[in-house]
Amino acid sequence: MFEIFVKVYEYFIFFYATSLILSYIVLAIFSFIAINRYKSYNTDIDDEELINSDLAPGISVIAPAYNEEKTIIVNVKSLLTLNYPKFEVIIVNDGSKDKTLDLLTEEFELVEAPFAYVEKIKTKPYKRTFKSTNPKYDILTVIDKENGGTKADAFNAGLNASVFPYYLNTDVDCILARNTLTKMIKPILSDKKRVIAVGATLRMSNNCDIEDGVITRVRPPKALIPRFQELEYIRSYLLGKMGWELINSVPNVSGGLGMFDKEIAIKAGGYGADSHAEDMDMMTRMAAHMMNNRLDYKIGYIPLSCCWTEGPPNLQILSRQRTRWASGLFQMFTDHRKILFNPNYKRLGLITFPYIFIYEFLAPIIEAFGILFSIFLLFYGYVNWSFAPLILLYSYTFAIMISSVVIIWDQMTFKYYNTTREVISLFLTAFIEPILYHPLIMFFSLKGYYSFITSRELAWGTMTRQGFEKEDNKKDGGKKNDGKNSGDKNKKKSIFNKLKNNDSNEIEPIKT
Amino acid sequence: MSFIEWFLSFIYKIKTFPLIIQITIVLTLVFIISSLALMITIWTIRRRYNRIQKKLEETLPEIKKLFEDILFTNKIYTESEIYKNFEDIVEDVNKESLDIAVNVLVDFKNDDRESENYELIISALGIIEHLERKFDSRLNSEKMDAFQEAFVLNLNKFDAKVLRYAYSKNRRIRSEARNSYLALSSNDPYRFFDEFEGDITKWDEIELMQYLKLQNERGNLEGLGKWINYSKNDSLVIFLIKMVGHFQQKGIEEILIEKLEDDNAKVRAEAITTLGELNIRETEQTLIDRYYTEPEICQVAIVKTIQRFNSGKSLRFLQEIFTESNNTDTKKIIAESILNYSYEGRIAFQNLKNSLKGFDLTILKHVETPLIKYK
Repeated sequence: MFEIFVKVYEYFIFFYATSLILSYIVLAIFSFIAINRYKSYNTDIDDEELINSDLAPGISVIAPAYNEEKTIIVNVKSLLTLNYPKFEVIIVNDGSKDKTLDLLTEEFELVEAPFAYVEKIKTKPYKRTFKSTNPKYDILTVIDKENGGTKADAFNAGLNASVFPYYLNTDVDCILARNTLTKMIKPILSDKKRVIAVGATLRMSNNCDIEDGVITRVRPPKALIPRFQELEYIRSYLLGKMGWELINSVPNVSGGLGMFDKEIAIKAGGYGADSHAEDMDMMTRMAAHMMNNRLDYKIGYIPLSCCWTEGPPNLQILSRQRTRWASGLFQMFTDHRKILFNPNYKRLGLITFPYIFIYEFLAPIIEAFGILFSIFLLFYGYVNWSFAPLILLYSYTFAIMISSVVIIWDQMTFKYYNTTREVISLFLTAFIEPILYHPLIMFFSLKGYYSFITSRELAWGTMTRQGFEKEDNKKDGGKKNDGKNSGDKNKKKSIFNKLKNNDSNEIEPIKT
Repeated sequence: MSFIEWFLSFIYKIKTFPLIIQITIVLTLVFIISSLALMITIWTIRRRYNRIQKKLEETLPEIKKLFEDILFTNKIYTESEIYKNFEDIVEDVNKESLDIAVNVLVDFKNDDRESENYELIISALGIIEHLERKFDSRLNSEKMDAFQEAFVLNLNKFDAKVLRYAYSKNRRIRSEARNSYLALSSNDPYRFFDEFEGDITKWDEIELMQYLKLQNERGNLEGLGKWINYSKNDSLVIFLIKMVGHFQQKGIEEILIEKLEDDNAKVRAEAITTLGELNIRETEQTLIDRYYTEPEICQVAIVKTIQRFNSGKSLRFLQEIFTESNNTDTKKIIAESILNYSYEGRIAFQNLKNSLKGFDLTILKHVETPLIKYK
């Protein structure tokens, strides 16, 4: 009986891994086509055309801030330097306990202004609006609100205060390329279908040169964890999301950088206020809204890196970040469980959601079980030592190959690194990533699932920033925000309560 | 044992393994070989990139200097001198170096650095022929570049080339060719206004507008009213109505008034806005009469148009609709119109401020404060 179980298990794992590998190969081909298509029909002259056009639509740049005193000034300056003819920058101070608001007020000469704030989407109470008295910063608006416990609540407040038909959501720890808005609005403008969202690639800012909020030199991070994450991001964006873009099945536009159609976002109910995966939650809501109303839509993606964010410098912070993401993923599948395998939701219900469920959500569980099972087999002498290393090598070589593909795709798109050595250093990272980084990610994901099931509190803003000062100024940093001072936290409902109650965060049901 | 013997014994041994293991071995070998091949490709891409960068570093400042000399100083160059000087810098006048030259010229043009000598460089270096070759390229990216570069350099000698792609099977190329035809053709630039397929995108609008601007600069801008009148394509009609307002084309009142009865609210809204742009004040009462029966998009257009007319006759109407409106965004627009509606408007605005309280008062303060750029 046990031997039959082992046999079945072995076959399951082999086919699971092989189907995953095949899906990656298909995505690699799709992304290659999508990247080439993008490169064929988009030029830098487009940027000039758009900048000089009276028809360029207005864009609201929304960035929530919670205890971001280390980086807020540099990042807001970065947002203000964007090159676009008509945009506003909305910073939502989500009840920060540190000096975030004071620093903003001082640096940008802010005063409280009368502002007709309309709560189109319900949020934690809005307090006031600040505007700059300096005409240099007339496009800056700072919204001060009570802490909502999630970034989603802060985004919703920004959405309520915005005036333009499109908005870019980003984080205040992100440095954006100056041409971000022109590059990201183009897919919206040039498609005959209604493009409800557009994403672009994020990278790590850890080892980059930044002057006055502008990235002047891009390098792969020196520290190992952010470098792993750089490779992981490029893989996820260039291979994953660009691949999905070709068949209009992009599962998620990152919360770090995404452009959205405001009308659809509001009609879809905005961000789920208690969501910890607010980006995927929002995308799912918007897609569901379009399908419910039988409207044709597209989610676009561009292969350019437009955003640089500070990667976790140590294990502790990586753990917090990944635990929150994993918990958010679990929450997403709980809230939107009706979509999974539901043919009414077409590609979303039958391709995107199942793919993410099987290969992203279940993967850490299957892997962890595999490790425990292997230990068990080891103890009882069931391990076939002739073939076991071969199976490991099979996965390992594939991981290296796919990372190599991604580095080529990256080089094909735009050569962000100045030297070949920098590219090679990223390539070499691919050799140790499966051994060092991947097991950690698996562990943190499981921790996130556990946190969600046991309803542990997870507050946003748990990423400790080091800031963009020079190394010698960094030594006193890092104590700003350890996640303990997150203010007014939402006590999360347990998974069982959530399954029982279809509360307000449930997506619209399909109209048949 | 030689390698061949070892390899054959290895193959023989593999055959004895279970199928799954055989597949695993084969795939693992494929992955290893692919990784090595990809590594070499990365190396090759970087080597080529480094070579181009080096060449750019060396030649770009020199080319810029030469072109600045020709374009923006009083020095006189002949075509052969230009070619010779350029050749001295780049060593070989080929596609790569001509691309650099075109990029430099495009940058100058985009920075609005005008000169009469652009044509001299274009002719001396054979840039027309270079762009023609790009038009003929198999790569769509090259064609797209050629369309845009030809436009920026204000070259309208590509009728035949562009026309060929105006019927291309590739939607993007076809659309780009038809839009660009407006700028790149010297014979019949408006030819494709009758042939747009389905809705035009916002990007089409942006491109068409800049091409119309170019025609305007060349003094060839035709009256757009005839297409507004005959076209069945609502998205094109909306765009053209907008352009009529932008270019202040007169003598189109009747067509615009006719469009006020269109079934499509977006067409009506654009017609209303353009009536304002063209300051056709006779329609003011008609617009007021229509206000209550129109959807929000047209109501907003009516309010903005009435403010633009600024005739002094409609202040009472604006005050009424401000009180009646329940939509905050519309209220803001009405309040702004009252505030900017001549001197009487400002007084009425102050009176409203004195009489209102709560959120309505906040709206007035919001509109009034100069700190808020985008209301």
